[in-house]
Amino acid sequence: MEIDKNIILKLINVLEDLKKSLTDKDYKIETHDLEDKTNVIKQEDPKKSVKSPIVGTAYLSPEPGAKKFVEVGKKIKKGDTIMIVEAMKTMNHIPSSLDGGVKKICVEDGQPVEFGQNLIILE
Amino acid sequence: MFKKILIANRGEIAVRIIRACKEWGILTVAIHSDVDKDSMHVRLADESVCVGSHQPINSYLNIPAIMSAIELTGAEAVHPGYGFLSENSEFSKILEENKIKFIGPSSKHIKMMGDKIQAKKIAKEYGLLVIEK
Repeated sequence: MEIDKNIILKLINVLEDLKKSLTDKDYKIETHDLEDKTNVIKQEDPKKSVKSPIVGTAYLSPEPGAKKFVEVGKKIKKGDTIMIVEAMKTMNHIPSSLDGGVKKICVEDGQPVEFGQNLIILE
Repeated sequence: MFKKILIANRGEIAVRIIRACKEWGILTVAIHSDVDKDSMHVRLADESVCVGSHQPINSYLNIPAIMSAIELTGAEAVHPGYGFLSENSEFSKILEENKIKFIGPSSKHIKMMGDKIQAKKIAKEYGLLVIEK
């Protein structure tokens, strides 16, 4: 089951408020609207994204200043290299796991990425 | 004193280490698998890195991924907790070679004492009394 981090944060806040109200009689509990902020982090459709298989540093082009592997709007096929993730000085070419048009590139050049992080979103 | 350490463990073990680090003002990096992303040690740590999928061999025992996480976060030392990589002399050796402190015995000592039979042989060599099998 997916647990929304915001709900947990809200609950922690509410608990803190309760604790304060117990010790301090003048403390007013702010009413938290649980519904307004729960959708801040939108879950990306996992079926249409390519995720990082390893931890490392992402590079969008084969060498500094060179043309990027993928651009927004470009059509790519399954198996095409979408970027390089460098881990311990090894340049790992990341192949696309799907066919489709590139909707969004989620990482910047030189950005550290973790396992399972969305690299690109396809449509 | 270290500025930042990486905790190569999960759950209550990691939480205990984070608590000690907070008392000492040391920044903490938690590692976790994809299914543990909402767990307590990840929330308490200053930084977190997802290092692999749910099987421990791909995440908490994945030495290359942990080494990458150390490099990315700039952690100066690794606390292995207990279990997982805490008695792995290979891991400790790799850290030594990369000039990262392993919070625990040296790889040489893990190799000497990690295996019970080997440990008995060494104890005998030094004239200590051991229970024979």
